[in-house]
Amino acid sequence: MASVSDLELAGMAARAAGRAPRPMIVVDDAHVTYRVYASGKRMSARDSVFSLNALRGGRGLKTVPALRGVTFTASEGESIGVIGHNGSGKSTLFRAMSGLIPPSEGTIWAADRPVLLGVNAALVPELSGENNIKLGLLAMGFTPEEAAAHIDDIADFAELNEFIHHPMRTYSSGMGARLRFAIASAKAHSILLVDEALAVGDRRFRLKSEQRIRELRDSAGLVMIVSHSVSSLRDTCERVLWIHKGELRADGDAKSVIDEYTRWVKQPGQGAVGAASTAKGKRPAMSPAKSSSPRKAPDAARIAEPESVVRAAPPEPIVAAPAVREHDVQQVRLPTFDQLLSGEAMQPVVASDRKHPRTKQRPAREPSVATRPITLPGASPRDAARRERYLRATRDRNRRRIIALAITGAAILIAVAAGAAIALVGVLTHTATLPAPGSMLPEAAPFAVVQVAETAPLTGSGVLLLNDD
Amino acid sequence: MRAGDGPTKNVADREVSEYVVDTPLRAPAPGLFEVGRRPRFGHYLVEAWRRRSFAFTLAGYRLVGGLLQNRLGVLWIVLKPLFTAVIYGTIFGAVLSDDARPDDWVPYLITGVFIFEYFTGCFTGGSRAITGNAKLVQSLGFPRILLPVSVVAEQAMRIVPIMLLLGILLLVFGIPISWSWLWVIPILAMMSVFNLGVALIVGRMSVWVRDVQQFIPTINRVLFYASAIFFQVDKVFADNPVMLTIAHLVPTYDFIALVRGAMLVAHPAPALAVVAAPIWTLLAIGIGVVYFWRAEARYGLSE
Repeated sequence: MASVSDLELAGMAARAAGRAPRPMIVVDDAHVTYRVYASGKRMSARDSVFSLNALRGGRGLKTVPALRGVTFTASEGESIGVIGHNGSGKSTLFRAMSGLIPPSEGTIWAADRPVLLGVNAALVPELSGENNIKLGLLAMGFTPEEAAAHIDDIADFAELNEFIHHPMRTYSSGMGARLRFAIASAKAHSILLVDEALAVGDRRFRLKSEQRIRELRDSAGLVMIVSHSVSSLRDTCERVLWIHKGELRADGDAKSVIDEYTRWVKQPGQGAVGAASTAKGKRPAMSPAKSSSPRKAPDAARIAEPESVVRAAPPEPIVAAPAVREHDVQQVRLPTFDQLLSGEAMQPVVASDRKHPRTKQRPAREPSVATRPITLPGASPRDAARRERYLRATRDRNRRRIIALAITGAAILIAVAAGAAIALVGVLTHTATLPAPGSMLPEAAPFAVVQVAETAPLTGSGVLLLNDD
Repeated sequence: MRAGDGPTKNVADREVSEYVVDTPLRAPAPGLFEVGRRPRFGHYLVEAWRRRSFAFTLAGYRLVGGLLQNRLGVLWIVLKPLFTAVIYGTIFGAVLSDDARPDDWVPYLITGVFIFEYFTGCFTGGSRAITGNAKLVQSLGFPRILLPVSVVAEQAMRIVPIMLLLGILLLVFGIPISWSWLWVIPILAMMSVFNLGVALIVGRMSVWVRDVQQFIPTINRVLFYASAIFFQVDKVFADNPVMLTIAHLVPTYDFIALVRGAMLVAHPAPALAVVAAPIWTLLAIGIGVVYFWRAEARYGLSE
């Protein structure tokens, strides 16, 4: 605790002195790829059982890129909101930042271990709420005594009353969220990531927890919040990141990015088409390699409805431009870290124009789009290299899988062979040893006869001998 | 403290940032470390030790929580192995002829069954230690090694009443009580370490190749027959020194033989088992911890 208050003092002192704030998190071209054991396409029951895919273990080699090159820097004393539609990679970004999921590429630097406060933080469902509190505290590094001392506070804060002694699997989602929030916020952290933690609580609890978050933010160096509630982000954050399809689509002051986002949300068909529409509309932050975009872009052009959207677009930048420019001054500092790291931070802007000669109206429109100056998002010139790396990674993975398969096969063969050998040895030793004690004679006689019969030339004598016996 | 440079901060800010860095590469600014890297080995173990109470608490809750749903509750800890012993006793008693049975047939059998159950519990539980706790892994940042540890701790808590039951049963079947029974405690402690090593190995493997979990019952079955639970290897392979040596080297057999040696007068442990058991233990724990630690940062990725 002492160290945290020290941190707080130091942070406030820095802010008061007007020093350049210290970076707390630097995310440099972070990629996260999930492996999913799924085919990725609809399958009938028969397909899923009999397909070659299923024979290979049903692994359709689905690597889902959840984050594709996100780069930003967050400094102390900031509170940053993160927006984006469902499945855009916000939670993945937070998990990667908190170290729960390693980035498959790129690096994430932090000044402290960031603490993630999320709805997903299910603990052990079979256990009672009280036991879960204790476990959570111990896992966060409390000593048993500290944990025991905090349990009552947390239970009070969560307001679960007698339900605190019920198993957590019986909780409603709101109750679970309360409990998790209460646990996670029990400790002051210098980097706090709040992932929709308050979305499910009732109003009363939300107010209470927002108060708690404010307290935490005051003591924390940096707070980042994922939320779908645009209004609450506008209230609490001065800077907002917009994650779209795993890429950073915009990064700027809260007002302009949120305006941009709400406008995007309201555009007809935007939510449904997703990648294709953005590839056509705004500056494309996502990689153009998506299989859907070449197909859908001509469609959109033919329908010509997006044209009107495009024509309607020019007013947007005019509104957003001043805010952006003033923000640009602030942002100049940010790429320098990237330059330090990659040396090519400023290139994407130039290259992205070159890369999309497909649509004719773009060159005229591109420079005026508001999202462009808001820091560097997609880093498009790296796209080719990135794709190359992905392909290489996929090949590697395939090769590794084949090797694993071969090893498995070999192991099974060896096991079978060993089993057979053991059985053989066992049989041999048994035939040699078991008869030994008592029943030597009766068995030995025909044995000898057969041997004689074999060794003797195949004449009547052998047969005679057998018959004789 | 904070305004200072990186290394001192990391040392001073013990509470939060001990469990962090592996390689301080080129940090883009002073005081930053890389997130999502496995911590250095020493740090890792220290941090795991600091949070050990998490593992033990989890083990205790799991044990009680899993049993309290049953009417007979904690009694099942004792009832289950008892039933197993009864079943094996009747079946093999009926199948095996009298001269094929070892002396002290029933004590011999139940000792083997109970000790073997300890191994199976850790083995099976270890394979699910990470995959069965995916939510926990993805939401809290603690040293993952604590999950296999908690599995073994849970099984160790189970074995205590079982061993008491075993002692009573042995007395019932006329085995004289003696001071050598106390040897069971260090032997089981050693076996716990061995089990932990195995649980760590299989825990990591099943994260990457889920098929391991399907294969584990087979391995258990094989080990069950290879560990001389209802027969005596010394009799069966009396004329085959090679097979006898191999059979004596099976790790589960070694521990079972040691416990039998301590508790049953008629069945002293073979010398090879006395030597092999500690070696197996060291191998398992050494390989297990390092192998598990090497993937530390990636356990959150499993679906």
